[in-house]
Amino acid sequence: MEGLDSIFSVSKEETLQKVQQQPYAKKDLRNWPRIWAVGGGKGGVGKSLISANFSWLLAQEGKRVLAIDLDLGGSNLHTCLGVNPPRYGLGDWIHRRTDNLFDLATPTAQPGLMMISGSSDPLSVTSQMEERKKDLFSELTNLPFDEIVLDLGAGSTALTIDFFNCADEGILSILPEPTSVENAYRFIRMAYYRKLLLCPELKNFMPVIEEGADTKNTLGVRSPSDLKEIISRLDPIAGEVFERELAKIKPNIVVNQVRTSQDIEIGKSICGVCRRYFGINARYAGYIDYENSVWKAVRMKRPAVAEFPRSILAARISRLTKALLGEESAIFPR
Amino acid sequence: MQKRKNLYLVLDLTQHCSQNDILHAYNRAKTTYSRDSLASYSLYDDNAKEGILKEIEDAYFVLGDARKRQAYDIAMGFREGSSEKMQNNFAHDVHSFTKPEPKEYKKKVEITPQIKVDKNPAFEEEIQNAKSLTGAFIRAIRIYRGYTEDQLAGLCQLKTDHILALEEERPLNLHHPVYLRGHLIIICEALQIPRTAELAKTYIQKLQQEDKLARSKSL
Repeated sequence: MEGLDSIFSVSKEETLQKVQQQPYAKKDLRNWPRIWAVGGGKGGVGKSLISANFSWLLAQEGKRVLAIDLDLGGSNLHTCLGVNPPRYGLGDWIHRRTDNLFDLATPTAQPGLMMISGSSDPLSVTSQMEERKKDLFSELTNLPFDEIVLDLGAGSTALTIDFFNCADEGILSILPEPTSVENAYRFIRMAYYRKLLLCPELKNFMPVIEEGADTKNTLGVRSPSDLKEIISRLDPIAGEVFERELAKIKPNIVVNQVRTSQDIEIGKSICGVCRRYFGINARYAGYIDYENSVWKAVRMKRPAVAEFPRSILAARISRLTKALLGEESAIFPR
Repeated sequence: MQKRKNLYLVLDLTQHCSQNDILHAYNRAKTTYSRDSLASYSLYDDNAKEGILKEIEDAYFVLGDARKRQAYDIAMGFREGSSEKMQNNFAHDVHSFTKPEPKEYKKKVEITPQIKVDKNPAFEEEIQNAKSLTGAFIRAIRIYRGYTEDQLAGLCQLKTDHILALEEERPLNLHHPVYLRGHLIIICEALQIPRTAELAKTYIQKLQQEDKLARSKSL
């Protein structure tokens, strides 16, 4: 898959040069929606919870929001948003039953928020999605929305990683448990190497990058940040390209199901480890408490911020939304 | 000449941070790379973690001492300094400085109350016999003791916004209860309010009850 990244990197940079350098300036000139991707590397970490509630709060702020369920094998974003199982989903677009993504959008109870459900036929759709993901991203930029939130599937497949890497902002949901943290690092590692392997300017260094990706490599690469030093030594210009590509990987870490103060601190530690091990700038955007409101809201098939608007959970997600939008400082800023 | 390591990067800091930030970063880094840390267990083995902990100790050895930090900043060009002596002091390895005696980390901040208020025996008695703590009561005691919000924030090493949020009982702007209790205890000690733990508990219980009531109204 060549140059998936270059669909946006060149033209978006041109656009950004024309607008004021603010952290989250709207790209008014081309009316491109800002794309958020919510991943986690593991199932049950709260991707759909965050996607649904974050989209809801963005719409409450007056933005036009589209939430897309990209968890093709386990799509349930519609349940979290209080929408009945839609008749049409992403599978219809993949199978070319419709060419217009907007036709598949279902309105929700929140004005300004629409959603596109995942497929009800994951077996045939997943393989075809690989062929059509480039088209999907092109289509997304043409949609008449301010914000698009992608609820990615579990795992670290190439499909999930590509959507995460190509989004404007990535949100990584983690539980304060060893399995979740391990899978999150695996996700980041995959995103890291996938980004480098798809960069056309680093074509000549593919063998080095592939060798470095192997944990038992003979180059002496103990961590991905060592790879940067090796490439810089081989070619300083390639080293600059390497750094530029790495700078694009800046996940926003959200710790879910927090029970103790140590759980809150784990987010900061993970950001520190990401800087040292991967050489990337992760940001600890916020945390969500372990609360009964979550499962109660899911059973009621409503977003938690709509069902329990004055709860601590709603306050946390509201603060998290503000931190992601840059309106409030994150717990551990970049 | 060997390139000097940026010790600020070892602790994930910038050169404009305060000494307090350095202490917090040091403690956080030690926890992150400890043997049973969740954040680093799947990426680093025990040997690698030991190496990283040593780097962290070396970085804190320099940055944790204001004098050494100043010399280091001048040597690295982070700060302007004309003192050749300071630059020469850092010409050698980090370990050329003698290791200091163990320091007390908790430094008492001496702040003189800015507002002059007359003594009120009735109010003093009310403070001594207080059974519950509210935001308005904290504000009244703060003014009675003669501190501005900024002074109290400095005394307790908290942000002024946080003091205001506590006094105005704005739960959305307050920290998680596990931190809030500690902050309330520090504030009560600074304002010489007795039975700090007991009163802090009443403040948190009041906020939780209000939240429960609000939630039941919305159902």
